[in-house]
Amino acid sequence: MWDSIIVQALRYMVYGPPYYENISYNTRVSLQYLIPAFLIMLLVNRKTSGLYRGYGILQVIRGVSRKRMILLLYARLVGQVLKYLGLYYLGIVIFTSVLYIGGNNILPEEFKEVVLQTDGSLFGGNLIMATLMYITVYVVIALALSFAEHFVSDKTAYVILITVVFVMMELDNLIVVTGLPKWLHYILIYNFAYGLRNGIYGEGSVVTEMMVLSVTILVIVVGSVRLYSKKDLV
Amino acid sequence: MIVIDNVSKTLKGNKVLDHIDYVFEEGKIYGLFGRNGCGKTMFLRMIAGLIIPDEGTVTIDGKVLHKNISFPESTGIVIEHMEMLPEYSAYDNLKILAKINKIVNDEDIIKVMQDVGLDPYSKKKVRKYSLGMKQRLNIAQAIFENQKIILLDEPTNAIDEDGIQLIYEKLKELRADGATIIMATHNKEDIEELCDEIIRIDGGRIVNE
Repeated sequence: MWDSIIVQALRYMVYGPPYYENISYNTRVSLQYLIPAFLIMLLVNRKTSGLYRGYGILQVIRGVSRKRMILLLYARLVGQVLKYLGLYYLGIVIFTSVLYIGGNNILPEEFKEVVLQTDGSLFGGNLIMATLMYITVYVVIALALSFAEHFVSDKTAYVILITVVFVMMELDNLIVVTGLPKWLHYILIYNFAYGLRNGIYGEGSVVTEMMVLSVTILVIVVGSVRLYSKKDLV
Repeated sequence: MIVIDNVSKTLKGNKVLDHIDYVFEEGKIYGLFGRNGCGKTMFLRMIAGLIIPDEGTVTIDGKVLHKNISFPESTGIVIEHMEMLPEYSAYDNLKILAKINKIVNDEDIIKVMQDVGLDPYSKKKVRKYSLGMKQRLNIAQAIFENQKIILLDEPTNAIDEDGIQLIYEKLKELRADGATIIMATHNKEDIEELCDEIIRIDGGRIVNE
């Protein structure tokens, strides 16, 4: 039972929470898309701005390379994202265990799982790829937040990124509903995190999505190194 | 020797430094004096290499900042809102900083902490420090590697009278060892007690010496 719970929890994380008729669309959207993004961004907020004052200055003044500082910061950010996603996943494992107490689904009959529409397994390519996409997108979101902190205050960067995430999610819905150009999907990168929205089961190509994510990471890292190397520390 | 040659800097449309020329010699304490926002802090940051001048040059011991060197070697700085690592003790904070250049040992750290009135054996985390203790720690990190250039922005802020006397004694000792100390302050007592030269700044310019 435990291995099925572990796999099932992973499915909930990357494909979406259990579907239940009485749960409204907004609740589902909040649970699946918004809350994880908001929490992770909250936890990795204020990292870049720390380089511009306080301890960052103490390192620069002692000759630590600014390039090295940015690269180390980003390595730590990736570590933090992995840690927080790991904790989030643990929470979902507990939730899934509660759903399946005694090996039975304890929710009412009408409870259906959207994940049953998928055929992935822990060792199948789909679930592994979906998990990799999920993690990569959150790394990109954390790096993007950090990049924004080069230009605006921590709080403003946070609000901007929340808005961007929300708009990306809603626009992706519109592509399906209103027939907006499909290439738009490839700039709405937050949607790549979710198995039913990215190329695994949804529209688009996973390879193209992964390339977009990789290029975005590269642009952010190179851009940050160049910016921080030349910017005034005021 | 620090040579400031015709340096100007504009930030967000405000000219914070306006054609400044000055020569700072070793073994002296300089006091930067002026109203809030007159450019004292920017002047200190420019010497530290934290801001890049739009015009002019800063030359330190014959090396031009941002051309021959990207930061002045052997510099200590105390600026407003300095943040040490809050979850570590003061001693651990200094020890972590000491690992960057590896020029001081544990005894040196202990001695400097005692000089500024901090207990080197205390396990208290920095986040639990009072403002005055944080400021003493800031001063300790600026001087504990026997820096040759020491830049201090309002160094005696929040420090009690006993602490101020300890800081004065330490700064005099560093001056005697040949350090160049440049201190921005509003406190006339700092100026009278310590400074060999006073530089009055107004609107980003040196208005008299």
